[in-house]
Amino acid sequence: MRIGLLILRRLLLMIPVMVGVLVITFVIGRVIPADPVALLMGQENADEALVQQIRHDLGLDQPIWTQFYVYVRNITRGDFGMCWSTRNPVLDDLAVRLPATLELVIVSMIVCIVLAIPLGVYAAVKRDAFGDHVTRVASLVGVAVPGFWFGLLLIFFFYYYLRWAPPPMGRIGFRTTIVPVTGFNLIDSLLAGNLKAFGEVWAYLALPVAAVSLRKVAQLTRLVRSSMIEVLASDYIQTARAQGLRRSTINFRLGLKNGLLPPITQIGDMFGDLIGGAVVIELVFAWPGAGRWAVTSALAGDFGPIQAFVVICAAVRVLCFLVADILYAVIDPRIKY
Amino acid sequence: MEKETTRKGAGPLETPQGVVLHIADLRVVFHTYVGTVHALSGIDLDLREGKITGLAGETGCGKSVTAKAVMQLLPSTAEVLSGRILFGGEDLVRKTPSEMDAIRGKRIGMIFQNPRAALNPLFTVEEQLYFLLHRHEHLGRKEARKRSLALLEAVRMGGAKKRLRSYPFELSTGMCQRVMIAMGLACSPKLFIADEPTTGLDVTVQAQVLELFKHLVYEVGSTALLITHDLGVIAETSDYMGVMYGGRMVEFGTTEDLIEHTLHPYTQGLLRSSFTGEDDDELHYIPGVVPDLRRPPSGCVFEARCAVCVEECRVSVPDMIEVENGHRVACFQAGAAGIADGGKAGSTRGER
Repeated sequence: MRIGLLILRRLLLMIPVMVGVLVITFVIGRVIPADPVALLMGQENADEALVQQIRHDLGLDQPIWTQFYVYVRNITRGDFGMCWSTRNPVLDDLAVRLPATLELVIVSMIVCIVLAIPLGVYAAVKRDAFGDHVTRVASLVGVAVPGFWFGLLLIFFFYYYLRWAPPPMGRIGFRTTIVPVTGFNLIDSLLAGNLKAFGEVWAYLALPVAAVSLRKVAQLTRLVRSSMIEVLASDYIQTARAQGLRRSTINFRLGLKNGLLPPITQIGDMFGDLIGGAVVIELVFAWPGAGRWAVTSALAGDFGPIQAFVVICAAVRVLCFLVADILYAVIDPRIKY
Repeated sequence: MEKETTRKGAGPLETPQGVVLHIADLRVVFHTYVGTVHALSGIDLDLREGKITGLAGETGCGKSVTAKAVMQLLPSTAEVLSGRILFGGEDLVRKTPSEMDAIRGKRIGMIFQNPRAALNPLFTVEEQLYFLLHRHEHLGRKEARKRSLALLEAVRMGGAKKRLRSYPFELSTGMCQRVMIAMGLACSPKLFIADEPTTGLDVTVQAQVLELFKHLVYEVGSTALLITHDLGVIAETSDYMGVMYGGRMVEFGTTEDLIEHTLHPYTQGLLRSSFTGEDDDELHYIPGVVPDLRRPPSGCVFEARCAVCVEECRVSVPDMIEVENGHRVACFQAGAAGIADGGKAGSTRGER
């Protein structure tokens, strides 16, 4: 009930945020000095009458306000316009590519959380001991190293040198086919009962996930460590020790619940960050995701995909904040709203 | 957290007759960035079975360190140099952390000051009691709830059933301390340590909590160590009391003896600072400050602030000497300071 009200209120708050995002994407779309008509027709043999005809069809001869109105109206209907370079509706192109990005990002998120939380707790418990120093140096390196460069290093060692990893070209080898149902290869290969393909999907995911996660694991580990150090020094943990509770109970049940409060905000933030930030890694690994698609479209002067990508990123980010807030409210009974 | 302690001293592990906790020559130092702090310089203390013993002294005198040493809850910077803490035929100083875990909470209960902070903010009262009862009594959820309810009723918590589902932030500070007491006594421990249990409570609540504490300790048949800087609290609750100063015990005896026949100039000063006589409306205090325990004085620790100190006090450390039936004091001038002349010893009159 409490939570229901929170969700409703926060969903309503999303409306003004999304309107702001739409205004910005629209304006950016109009100030890009690329002419969609030229893109559509090709540069040569432009027949002036035909140009005017296309401008009219696209609504580009309308006043800017009308164009904005039409733009917003179409988006609310799920119509993000046309991708001029592929001549498909933007949404269709996106639907093919977004699962690839989401798969990469979600797996990376899980890896981050599964690695960073125990590492952070370990570093806090072993504070200033050898293990803590190792974790600290490792996470410092992780924060400092750019993801794309780390990705290239991974390719060099694991593909070129050791030959352990599959080629850094996409999500799956060209000999394997997976019938798309959800677009998530991990799920689709399982649905088809094709375990070999399932394993191959993991092999293709391994390096990009490592490249995407490195920095985030490092950041999150440091945050969990400092938050846990504070918690472990608190009076209520002293009480738990005075009660002779087991170390695992103290660290992971009593302590971690408190220690997770600050990292939760960052974890929510991370998901939005990864979707936007995966662009670079998608380029390095030729990952057929939405980020790479948005960038290549931008380079081609095609702004429909970029607008759609930005709107999606913004919506995901706002939703992540919402999820983080809900988790917060679930964990901490003191939060009132 | 627990540190490997230097193991010195051997001997029989039996505590004297009628004594639950026997501390002998306990020395604890803290290794800090600014030097080694001699927090405890050889403490002897016997807790008599079924009695409440109060420990008094100013901040930094070592009374909390004594309690934490018993519980092996000293921070990692602390080192136990020597001494024995005998409890139930075992030396707690030699216990490993996991052996201590089985003792803490079950055979020794402890409560702290600032009860609201001492309770975990994200768990209900029931959950926090469950962790304890499950750990030591191996109770399931259902049995733990039954026992918790009985415990809350025992600490006279109004609406106990509802309070089980409460989070600490929904309780008053007094209620939080009641929950802490319920936790401390949940496994009927042989020894119950209360570290400044009433600090931070309203005076009226303080009296209730103390009354409850006293009642429950006697009812459970436990033995209690009550640590406080408030002599009034000790006077009301304790059977025995010890006064600590600068990491040493300076006087020990029955509460009555210590208050009626005070021997140590420091105890006299403390008493004069806390109780105002009827014919006397002036404020009393002990001049000077506590010694720097990084460089403890070579003589008596109280020498610098003592009004009756003589040359001997500066040179050698007075031992605890039994003056009369169980009343012990560490002062060369104990006779001279005397009861009659106690008023002038170690205190200064301040004009209002």
